[in-house]
Amino acid sequence: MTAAVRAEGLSRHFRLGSWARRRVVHAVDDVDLDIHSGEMLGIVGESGCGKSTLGRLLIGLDRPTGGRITIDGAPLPTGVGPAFRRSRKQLQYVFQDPLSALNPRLTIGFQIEEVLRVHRLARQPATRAIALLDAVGLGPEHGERYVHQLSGGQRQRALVARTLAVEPGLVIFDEPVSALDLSVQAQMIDLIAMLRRRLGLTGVFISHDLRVVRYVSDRIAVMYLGRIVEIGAADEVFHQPLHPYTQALLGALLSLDPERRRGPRRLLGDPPDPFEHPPGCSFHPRCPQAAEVCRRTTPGLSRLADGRLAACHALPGPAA
Amino acid sequence: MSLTHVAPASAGSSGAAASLLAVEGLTIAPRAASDRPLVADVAFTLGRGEALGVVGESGCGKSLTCLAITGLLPRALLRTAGRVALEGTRIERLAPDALAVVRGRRIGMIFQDPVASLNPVRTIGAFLTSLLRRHRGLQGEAARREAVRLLDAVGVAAARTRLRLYPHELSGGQNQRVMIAGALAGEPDVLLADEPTTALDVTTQAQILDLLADLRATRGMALVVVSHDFGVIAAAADRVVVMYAGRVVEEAPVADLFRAPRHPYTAGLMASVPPETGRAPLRPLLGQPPHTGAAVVGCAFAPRCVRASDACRETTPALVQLGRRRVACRHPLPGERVS
Repeated sequence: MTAAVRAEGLSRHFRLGSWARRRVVHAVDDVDLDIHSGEMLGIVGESGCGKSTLGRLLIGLDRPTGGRITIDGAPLPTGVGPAFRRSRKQLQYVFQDPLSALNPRLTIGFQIEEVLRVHRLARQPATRAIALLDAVGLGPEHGERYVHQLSGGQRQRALVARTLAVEPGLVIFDEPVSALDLSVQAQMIDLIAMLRRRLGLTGVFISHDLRVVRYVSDRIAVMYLGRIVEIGAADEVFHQPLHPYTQALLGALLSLDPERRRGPRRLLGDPPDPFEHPPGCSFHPRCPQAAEVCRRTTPGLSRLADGRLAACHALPGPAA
Repeated sequence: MSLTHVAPASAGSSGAAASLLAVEGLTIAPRAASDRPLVADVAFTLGRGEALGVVGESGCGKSLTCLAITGLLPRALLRTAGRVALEGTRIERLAPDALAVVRGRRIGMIFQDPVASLNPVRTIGAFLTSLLRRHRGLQGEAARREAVRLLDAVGVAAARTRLRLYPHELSGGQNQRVMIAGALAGEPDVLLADEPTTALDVTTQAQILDLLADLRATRGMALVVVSHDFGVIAAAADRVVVMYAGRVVEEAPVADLFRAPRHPYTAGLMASVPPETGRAPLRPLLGQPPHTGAAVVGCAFAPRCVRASDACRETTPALVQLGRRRVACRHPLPGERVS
């Protein structure tokens, strides 16, 4: 498989505060990541772990403070300029909140046609816009409406239709179903799965909902304080987590069987403060298996026997 | 499988005589349009120490039901019918100041977003001691000691030093613990928890649910937990009320409901949760819930229901007893085989 996107040593540090009280947030810290052509990569982690920042970096919406990203071997253009503008045809982002991503003063149809015109993609933008709306399960009448006239699920569909207008090579879905009601969320998940099959999309699916991520993804990457701590095939990570953090995250997943309520298997302590980077492995203050070495050195991702990558001193070393 | 109308079950927690909190015929409508109810004819009972889950999608009326119990409906809304009885006392008839005593002292409440519910310019200590003074007449050092004890009980570490902190200095999970401590300050018999973990990370969610279970076990407190998340309901409730478009459509013991939902809406909602193995298509419900307050004729779920008949589109089905549960459906799904 070819890596459609490759990130090497990717970092994004934010400097905050005044000169005297400057603090640095390591939102993304030394991340190496390959996204294969045609796959859906899920990214999970608690709030503040850097999953959205990573998503924005991957399509050049934000500039890394370290490391590099290549798309099909070519460096990713960032900032403004013709190269960046051209790259928008390849790289798209579906935001969590369609209300802030869609223009409230233009009809849905106009916004889709505008994309087609800017990138000179269709001879008859109006006809193509209707076809795109149809692909996401909306009728032509929805194209004539404004965003406030649509329901939450319809807004998210309209946003996906506009995203797909450019026939992108890579789409970042950032919590695309989190704001939706359960029944509408399921419709949206089915739609994303169907579009993937039909269009062969390469995608990144960012969510805090582990069941949703397992269902839609081929691989899952687990992030903690800006770093990837485990990455592997979705079902393996979900059913046999190796990193202690992944185990804790899945241990907190609530059973849907009231007769098998899990006993308290709590991860002690709060999600970490992104300002406070502990030395060594950043998970060690909450880790039940933390040893002396964990307090001193940061473990790197190493490849385990089943092809999975995990960053933990307690796991057996690289496969021979 | 036939519709069997069984007399109200006297076994278990649903016995009306023993109930701590009983809601009957609760109907809520906008003042401006009292013929368009947002909540219609909601009824349930809660026994001492029992945990009732209320589940449904946004706009189904689950939060309004909670607010109406404690008389906290927004000004634009009105309880147009129904009664709310706490140990036989009709609390919906109480004068505002008498109801204010019930609220906090007998019925505690926690809401989804702890940061929005706490006053940002008052310290945690000021918040808790003012509640202790109001509900239990504790002053000065006695109030501070009790505040520390409450914070300890809900798992806030280094409680004494936290009293000086403001909500923005604590994490979301810590703030939710402070809210729970505040709700416990009046030593209530019932805790109404409206989406208590929705704004929290999964790891923190598990801790808060453990805490609520502990409090039930140690204090014999009854709990109403409102959630859109079946995981939370499965973890926290003994009995479940499912609401759709302002009405109760199914009520059942939690294990029965999860094993075999009988209202097509309950079943469709459960089928919307992605499975943990395999990637079979989800078969979600089609369409979306009706707009809140839209005029509905017949069963509100009929337009999305594959089992709907003409009768469903004409009259609203009543909530009828089916074994250990109540279902408002003319064509309920087959129950479990009884051996």
